[in-house]
Amino acid sequence: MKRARGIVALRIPGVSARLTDDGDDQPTDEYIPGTLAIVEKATGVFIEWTPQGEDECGWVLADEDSGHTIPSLSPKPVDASSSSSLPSSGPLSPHSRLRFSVDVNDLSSFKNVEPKKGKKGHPCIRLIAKDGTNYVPLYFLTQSTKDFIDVLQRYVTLRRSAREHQLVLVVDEKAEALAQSLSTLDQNGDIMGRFMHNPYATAMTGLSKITTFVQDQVIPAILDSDAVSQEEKIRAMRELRTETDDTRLKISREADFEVVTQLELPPRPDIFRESPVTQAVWSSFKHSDGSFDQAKSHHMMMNVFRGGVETELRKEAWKYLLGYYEWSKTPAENEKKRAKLEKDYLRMKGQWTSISEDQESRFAKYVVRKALVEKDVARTDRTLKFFAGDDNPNLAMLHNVLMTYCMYDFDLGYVQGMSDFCSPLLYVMGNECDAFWCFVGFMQRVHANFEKDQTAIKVQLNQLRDLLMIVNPKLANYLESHDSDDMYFCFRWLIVWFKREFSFEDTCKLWEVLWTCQPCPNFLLLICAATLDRQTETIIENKFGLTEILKHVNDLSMHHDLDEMLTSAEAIFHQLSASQDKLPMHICEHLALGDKSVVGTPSGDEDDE
Amino acid sequence: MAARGGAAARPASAAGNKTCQFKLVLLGESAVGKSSLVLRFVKGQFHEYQESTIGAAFLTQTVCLDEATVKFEIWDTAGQERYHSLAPMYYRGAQAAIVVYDITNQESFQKAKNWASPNIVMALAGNKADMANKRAVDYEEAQAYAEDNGLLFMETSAKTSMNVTDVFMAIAKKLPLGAGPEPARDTVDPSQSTQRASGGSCCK
Repeated sequence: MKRARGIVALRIPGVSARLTDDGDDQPTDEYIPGTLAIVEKATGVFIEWTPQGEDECGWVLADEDSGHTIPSLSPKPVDASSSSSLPSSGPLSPHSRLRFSVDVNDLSSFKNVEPKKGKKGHPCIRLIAKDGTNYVPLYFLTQSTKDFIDVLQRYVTLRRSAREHQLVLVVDEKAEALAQSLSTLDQNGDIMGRFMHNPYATAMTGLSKITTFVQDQVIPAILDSDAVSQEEKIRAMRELRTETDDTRLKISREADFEVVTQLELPPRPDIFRESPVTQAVWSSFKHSDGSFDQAKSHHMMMNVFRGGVETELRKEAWKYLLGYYEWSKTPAENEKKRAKLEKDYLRMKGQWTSISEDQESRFAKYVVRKALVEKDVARTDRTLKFFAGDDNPNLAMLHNVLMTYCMYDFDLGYVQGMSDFCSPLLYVMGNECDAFWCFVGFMQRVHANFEKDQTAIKVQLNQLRDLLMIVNPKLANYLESHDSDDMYFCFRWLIVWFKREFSFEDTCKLWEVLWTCQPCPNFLLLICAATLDRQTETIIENKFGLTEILKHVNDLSMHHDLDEMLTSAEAIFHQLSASQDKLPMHICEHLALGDKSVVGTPSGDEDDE
Repeated sequence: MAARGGAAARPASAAGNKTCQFKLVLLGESAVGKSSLVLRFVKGQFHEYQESTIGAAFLTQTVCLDEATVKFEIWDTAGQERYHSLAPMYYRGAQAAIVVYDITNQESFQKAKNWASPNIVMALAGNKADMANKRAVDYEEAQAYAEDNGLLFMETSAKTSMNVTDVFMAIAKKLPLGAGPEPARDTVDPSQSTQRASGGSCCK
């Protein structure tokens, strides 16, 4: 061989990547068989996974230029057919996009999940890189993860997180040593001590001043030497911040200060999800004339909150949940309302379908809206069968509903994200008119999110931060000290109600739960808090900063467990609800605690249908 | 602070030359192909129906020059104007930007002209070059505009990958690879062309 070969230190066939497929109407987990390897190359040591049937030559015959780095290019003539020199170009199998290669030095940690005792399953590893990238989960079908971990330890030092046993951290020994010497220096020099004697410093603002002081003054002074790299400086700062956090807890106890964020909440109750409401249960709640009385409709909302509704029932139930049909009306009365609203829909549809091209040339505001709708219809849920293919009539329906909404609310117009809200409604309703009026009902709840100044979203992000301060002060403080307490990394969750984070089916389930406004109108915020709560150790132990947090949160998409999120969020609600007399006023307001119009009783009572 | 500001250096990798890290943002109207360009550059993939970007995405990719390895921290943001009020936190501290327009859409080219910042390395990318049969923006016109405004210029296609790596390479070559003491702190702002000066990079 003329080329320098990579040395394969470990090769494990029978390692499957789990692909969460959102492309079909039902979410399916697909396991793609492949091979995991640890390869020594001239450029470093790489962990690589290749789907079965793919050419493993990419690494077996790896030369010095391969890996994640793009080789230097000579100028090429402009040629539309030229392909880039990226590793994964060329003929691809459907799963080659899952193939990856990561330098062990870029590895920050990995999750190592073993199957529960007595339960079937395979151990799983999910690699997390320093830049926050979460790689596809890998399942070891034929052997344990021991060999992999053993071989990996030849190259990097691993330490299991003390706080989350599934998390294995790659320890940078140099940085740890530096942090240690820094903390020794602190104790000797009493730099931190002097500040901590100032009672004001126990307040949040004061503490952030310490952190700033340490960063601006102390760190550069200590590290003002060429021998210390920029990276180590950053690491040292982060280490120190973690220590400040630990100290913060200590001093607040010692100083006997009442720190609001230290509020002790009761333990979280166990919450269980229930099965979806069936057609039979739904019908049994109706009076003989087909209407629901107030108690029954409320009871039904609770049932929907706890279990969602069966797929076949959605078409009917969603009309009620979105206020298109009225609970107290008989089917005949609702049908009458529908007939009237259908006329309204057709009238408004006629308003834009009758605009000629000539008119358009003098109607700029309309043309702008139309262009936005067209751009997004072309790329909304196209992997779903329902919207697949170029001449799909469902695409025209989505376009029509969104364009008609522009006439319904011309001032708001069309804003990105609306097509995400509209698509499941059209999918479930199957016709324009019903989808449109359900969409109107949905938009009434989320209208403010799309308004020009974006105030509503900013308010929600602030409320989320406030909640997190109570629910998980450790994480809230960490985010604050890493420039992330604007919570902007949750923007996508809030603006499209987790649509981009879940399969289509799970999105439907989440939304119908949220439409019930149970157990409080802002339950979405609690879901965000519960989701973040679950990421606490991953974010903190990996020492993620602003960019890594955003990347990590984005990469969680399609890897959330909806039922777990819902039960945790509900448990947090009960925790807060039980301590409402101790909670700051603004927290009660965010959650409408104490407002008797929303009832939140712990679920799990089995006589409840 | 370095964690946000972008230009923080990493120790050189096994290759032995210095590594520089730069923050790069993608700008331009919605549906011109910003995310597709990044996806092609970082993962070598192309999705015909790439969904719209909500909020922002962050990706990294490294390119090798003769004198240094350049690691791009790439921020890809939502294109619709409605969301621009939230975008500054993403392009804060960027040292490079690619302003993207769609060669089949004249309006997107006009919008591209609104983005300006004299103190960072900027490239203008006319994307969807594979759809030249629907061309609405002349190559020469865009090139002349880029020249007048000191922008790098290329027509690109995320679909065929034409010029995708090249536009990032061209930016890498123009970035200051020499040692600089401070990370850049420029802001990019549509409709605002005067920015405070401070170039910068940080290499070891």
